[in-house]
Amino acid sequence: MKIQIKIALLFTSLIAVFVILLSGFVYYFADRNYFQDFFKRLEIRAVIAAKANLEADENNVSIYNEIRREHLEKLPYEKEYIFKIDGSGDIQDTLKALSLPASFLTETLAKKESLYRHNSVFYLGFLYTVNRQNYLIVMSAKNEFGIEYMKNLRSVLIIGAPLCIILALSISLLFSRNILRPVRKITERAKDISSKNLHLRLEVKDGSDELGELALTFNNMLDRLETSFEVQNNFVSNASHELRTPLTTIMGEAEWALGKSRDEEDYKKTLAVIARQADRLDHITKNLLHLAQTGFDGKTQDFKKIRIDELLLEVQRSVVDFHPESIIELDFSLLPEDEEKLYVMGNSQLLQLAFSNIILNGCKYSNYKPVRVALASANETTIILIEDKGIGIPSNELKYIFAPFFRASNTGAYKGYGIGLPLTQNILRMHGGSITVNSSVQKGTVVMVKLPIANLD
Amino acid sequence: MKRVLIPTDFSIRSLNMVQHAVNKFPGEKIEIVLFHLLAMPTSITELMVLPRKKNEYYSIVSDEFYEATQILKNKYASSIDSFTITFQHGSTRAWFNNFLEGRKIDAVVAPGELELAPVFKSSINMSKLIDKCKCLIITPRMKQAEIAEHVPSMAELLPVAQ
Repeated sequence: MKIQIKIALLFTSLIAVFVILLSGFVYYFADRNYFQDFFKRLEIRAVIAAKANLEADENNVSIYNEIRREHLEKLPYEKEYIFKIDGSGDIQDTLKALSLPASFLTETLAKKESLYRHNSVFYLGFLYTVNRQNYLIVMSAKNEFGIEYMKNLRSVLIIGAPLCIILALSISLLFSRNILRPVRKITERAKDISSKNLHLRLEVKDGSDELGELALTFNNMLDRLETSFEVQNNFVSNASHELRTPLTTIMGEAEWALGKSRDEEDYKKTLAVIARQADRLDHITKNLLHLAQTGFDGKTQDFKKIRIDELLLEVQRSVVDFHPESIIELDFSLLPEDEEKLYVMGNSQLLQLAFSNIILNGCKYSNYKPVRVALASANETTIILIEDKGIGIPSNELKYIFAPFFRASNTGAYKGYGIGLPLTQNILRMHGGSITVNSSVQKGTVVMVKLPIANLD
Repeated sequence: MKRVLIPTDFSIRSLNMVQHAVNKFPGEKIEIVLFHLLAMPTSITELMVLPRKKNEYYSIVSDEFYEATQILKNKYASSIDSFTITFQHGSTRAWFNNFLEGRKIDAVVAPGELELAPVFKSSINMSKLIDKCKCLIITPRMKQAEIAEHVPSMAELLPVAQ
């Protein structure tokens, strides 16, 4: 069963219990009150009847009769019986004929007054004493109004309660649909995401409620997935490209040496070149293996505390290693005094990859003009600024630069795969950081990276 | 503990003045009060709603500006104790001197050649008042060009806020 329907049913059954309980209470108390009222009316009539019939004073009798005639409306089927209590069994017999139980008399004698109800007919027994002679007055009437009234009430409740329950059911269905709409949206969106379009993300309106958190968690998972996917992609293209260059050299040198017999000196030279290139190959394969491991290995998720300035120095060294013509100026003038503010939680290989991507882009697209890297720390984030004086990115293309395989329209003269920035963005997302790019064509690009500072404890 | 007043137009560049304050009192803790001067409104209705305008004033302070103050506080962690931002209404010299005395300000940094932008319609040119106040005035020894060279990264570090 769908949760939506479960919620609706639960809500409805709760409402149903309340409505039914309330109806029961209403009916019970209305019934009691209404009949008490009727007995009061019978009582007045019984007292007046007793006075009118049994009073010794003639004047009083006529007054009471007048009161009865003028002021007391006859109740439906109103009947009065007056018995003289003299110990004979007549009373019992008459009462039996009226289908009144024996307890009626005894109760009346004991309490001077008693009530009895038989279907819609109400009886009131009343003990009246004149000149030390006890009389039993029995007043009976049919409570037609009351019965009618209670019938009405009953039908209203019987029709009203189911109506209420139906209303509650429809409202609760509406509500539960509304509440679960984000879940349905997430489901629909998640169905669309496959390995082909891993860059898609779920919509997160506000991350404050549980569903927002769910979407956020889902997005984080997608970030990690996408990163590992792209690391894999990157690995293949990097591998083929980087491995080819030394291989071509080795093959060329070997061919040249084998072409005809050469001097010993020439062979030595050739072999030295081959050895150097083989070294380079070894270095590259090791690096690529490393890269691949960081991307695929689940263990890399355990982040370590990294000093961001040391990481940048490392990146500078490795970038200059690979491209000796690049000039990287590290600007640490805004470094915080407290070195604790320089630590971030992260995977150093991935972060190095991210920063070397940005810095290499800066070098490449500025034809190896100096690239400035500045570092500063705010209270909760550390900010790294990478600035180049390169060809820039056209402003209308700026929003696409993080899409995989996108290359700006002015990059035709430069080699690239359009994979570096998306990979960088994913790595930074994994670390809870962000990247913003400002650029103007032919002037240069400023990339600002923000990473959360590691907790001090 | 020294309390130093620095005029600001809430641009990152105006925070360059912080370093002069730090250099002036080496080895001492400094409380930095960033202030912006506004003219006292002349109409009664404006005066009545004045207390409620605080939010409007503070909304002009960008997140980047706050971030930049944090960066500076981290950079000079041993000397800067705190940053506070305050808006004041007033334009006369007498009032300004009173204000400096009342707040127990030890020194004021003069913007010198750095031009502060009038952020609000009622913003007041603060450098004139500062030049003539009775407090210790810290004047930057460097020319504008040198400032730009000396702390090149500050404004560019947060390019969004420029």
